[in-house]
Order: sequence, then structure tokens, then C-alpha cells
Amino acid sequence: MKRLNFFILIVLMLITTACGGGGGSSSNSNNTPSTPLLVPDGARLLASQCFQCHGTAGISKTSIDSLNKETNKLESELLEMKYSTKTNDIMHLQIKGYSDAEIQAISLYFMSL
Amino acid sequence: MSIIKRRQFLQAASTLSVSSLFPNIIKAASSKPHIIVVGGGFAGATAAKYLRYWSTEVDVTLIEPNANYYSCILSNLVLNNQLALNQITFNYTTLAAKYGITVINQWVASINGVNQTVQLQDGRLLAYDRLIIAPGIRFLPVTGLDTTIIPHAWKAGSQTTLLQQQLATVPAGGKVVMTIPAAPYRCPPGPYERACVIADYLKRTKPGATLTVLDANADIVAERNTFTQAFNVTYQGIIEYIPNVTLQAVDSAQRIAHTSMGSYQGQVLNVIPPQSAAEIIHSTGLANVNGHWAGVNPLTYESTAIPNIHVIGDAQGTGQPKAGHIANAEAKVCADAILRLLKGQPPYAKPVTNSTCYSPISATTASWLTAVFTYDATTKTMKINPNSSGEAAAPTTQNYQHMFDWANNLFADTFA
Repeated sequence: MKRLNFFILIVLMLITTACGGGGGSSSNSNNTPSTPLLVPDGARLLASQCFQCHGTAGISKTSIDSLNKETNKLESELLEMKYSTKTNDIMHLQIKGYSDAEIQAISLYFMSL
Repeated sequence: MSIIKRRQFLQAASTLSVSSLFPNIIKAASSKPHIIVVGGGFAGATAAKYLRYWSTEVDVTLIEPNANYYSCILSNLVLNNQLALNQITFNYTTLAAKYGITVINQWVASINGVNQTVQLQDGRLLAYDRLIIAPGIRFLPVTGLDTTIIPHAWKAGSQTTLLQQQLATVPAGGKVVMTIPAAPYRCPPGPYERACVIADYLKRTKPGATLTVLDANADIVAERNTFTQAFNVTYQGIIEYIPNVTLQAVDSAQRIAHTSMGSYQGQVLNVIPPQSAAEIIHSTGLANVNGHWAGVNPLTYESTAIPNIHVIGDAQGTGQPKAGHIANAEAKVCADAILRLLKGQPPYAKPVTNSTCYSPISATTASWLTAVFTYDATTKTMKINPNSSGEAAAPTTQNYQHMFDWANNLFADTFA
């Protein structure tokens, strides 16, 4: 193999690896359905408002819950908190500021990660 | 002085390892839209990060004069010796390395909104497609105030250390005086939190010492129940709280606050001066809300005075609180909107932001405050959702631990 072709091959491998890194991890995940999730418009932004407390991409670095695990339960848990009468808790208050559709959008976003 | 074209600038400034391997990628990168972020606090750092976290189709330059950032959040805990300043010190190396943000440690000399350029103090002239300004606050002048003697400690860093050192010299039975400016100011609960933390320190280490709190406001501005209880019960006999006091002048050498209700002298005087948006907002012609703050469209944070310039954080004038947590929230709305606009899409029509903070009440307890803000299309403003706002029922030791969990995730979401 000529040196130039070899170089191109290495570059292609690097690019393929780089591209595959992001997509591959989610498509191999057990939680990801075979068809891509339809994440509603604005979900990226809405979900990012959780990151201040729960960490970027919902991955917490402290004892606050991460949001990237058991994402199929996230919507029901958030709705339960929203319609609970409990108010002496930050999350129970926060979630009352979101519509059911926004909660669904946020949950779908985390499922799509 | 010459305008550095984006391509030359990127070639000169880039420290990405990929640049040496794939020089053609850098050339391609030069055709990307260039977004400049001025100011590396909670707002600016988050905006720079999220522009690149969400998109590789933009080049981002963060201009911040200081190599280190000292968080105002948690900084009151330096005053009562519960934290060291280096525990709340951050830098921009992770943002540069992880997200490919070009960081320039320079002051901005001026901004030209017509030519869309930023002039740096070292003479460089940078062109932008979109500019985000997050410069924070400036202090309004107070007659006689010399902040090298009378610290504000309202921008964390050496000022925090100075106030801490002064508090350490207070004798038993001594007196500390602090003044609170009229709202709006940076961090609504912050001055009352500081009063509690100083009182905690005096109570534990300076028997008989007192703190007089002179508030320009008619009442406690935030977490009224929590701080009323703290002032009247927890720190009974230590804190004297006096509302409706206008600061008129300061005798810095004698540590005297001359006010509408008489003169107050202490071994330590902490004056938190009245505030306005940082100077660059004024010199650029963006301070069109009450002459102090930058009017913006809350869907994009684009200035209502000059197109393609966005203002986020404490300098903006939407009426949302001026604080680090919600500055991070605004930055995400702004970054998301800019990326959508660059793709020819409208900004998201119903942005939501939130404000959350924990306040230490003593060396072992803390309270919290929270609220959600939603865009109201009728008034085109961010409106607080009353069902989502509230404060802690009481300061607890559990909240004190949660305070660090909250802050550390917020720090990482902003600077890492």
C-alpha cells in the first residue's frame, strides 16, 4: 500500500470512529427502540434546564439524582410530583411550572440520549 | 491596528491538536459563523459551552480578562471560614479543551454594533456574526467609599478575602455594620445570607459582638420568612435589622456609614453599593431599561437596541433575578436560539428558565428558594409561575449538604 493511500485509510478510520462514537453508543443501548424517537421541538432546550442541578446531559456529579437512567419512568415520576400536593421540596415546586406536554418532551429527550 | 480576519484569527489562535493533523479542517472551520462571548461568569461560560455542546457548526471565542473565576455562589462561606477561596475558583481550560472554545484573556475596549466587531484592549479587532455579552454588574459611586478599605465582597475574589480578614480582627463585644442597596441588585437573598453568615461567625468566635444591617429596601427582599426568623430568633441580640435606610456617604478611614437614619460606625463596615449593568453595556448603548440594564427579547436575549448583540446574566433587564443559577438558564435559551437562527429557524417560542439557590444560615444549616419562569407571549416577558415558587420551611442540616450538591453540579454544568 502506498504511503498516501495508507494515510487516507487512517484518516477515514479516524473519521468513521469519530462519527460512530456518538451514534453507536445510543443505537447499541438496550433502552433505545429500533425506530428513532420523535423528540418534540424545543425538547433540547427544556431538558437543558434540568442540568443546573442534575448535571450536563442529566449526569449528576453529586448525590442529586442523575436523569439519564431509567428514562422510561421519568415522565410518570415527574407527573406524580407535579400533581402531588407536596410543596416543601424544590423538585415538587419546580415541576409545577411545566405543562404535561413539556414534561413529556423532556422525558423523550432523555430517552433519546 | 488591523482587523484580524476570522480565518487568520483562528489559525493563529487555535491550539486544537487536530489543527496540526488536518489543516484543511481548520480552513473549513473558518467558514463557520463566529460567535463571540464577552464575560466568563455563569452566564458567559455556559453560553460558550452550550453553543459548542450542541453544535460543531459554529466557532466560539470567549473573551474574559481574568484567567480565574471566583464564584459568588458559596463565597459568603469564606467569611465564616467554612470554605477556602480556592474551593470556589474556576478557570477556562476545560471549556477550551473539551469544547474547542478559543479563550482570550483580555479586556474588551469597545464594541461596534454596525461593523460587528469587538476591539480588545491589546489592539486586536475581532469580527463576529453574533455577539453575546455577559459582563455582570458595575457599582454605582458612593461618596467617600474606598473599596480597598471598605470591601463590598460582591464580586468574589480578593474582596472576599479582605472582608474575611477584617472580620477576623473584630474584638469580643465589637460591632460590624453592613449596608444593602435598593433592588435590583446581584443575588436577591445574598445580603441577608451574608448577614446570617457573619452573625454565625460572631456568635461562635466573638462573644458579645453585634451586626447592624442597614437595608435600603422597605423589607427583606427574598426568603422573608427564613431571614425574619433568623434575624429575630437564631441571631437575637446579635443582628439589628433596620429597613428603609438610604446610604448617603461613607467615611472610609473611620468606617462610618452616613445614612438617612443617622451615622453608624463599626470595627468592620461592609458596603454593598447600588448596582447597574457593567460599563460595556452602557458604552455600547445597550442600557435601555431604566438607564441601568440591557433590554432584550427573552426568546433570544437579543438586545432591543442593537441587532446581533445578545445580553445575558446580571446585565440583562428582563426582570428575572440577577443570580448565577438563572444566568446559566438564560445562557442556554440564548445559545439554543442563536443556533436555531443560524439555521434559518425561529427561536423556541415558549422558553422556560428556573432560579434555585441554597443560602447558608449558619455553619451547619441552610435554606433554599426556587422559582420557574415561563415566556408570556402576550406581554413578551418572562413571568414567574406562582405554583412553582417557594422557600424552605426552615433551615436544616440536610439542606446544608444539598447546598453543596446543587452548587457542584451547577459549577460543572457551567465550567466543565
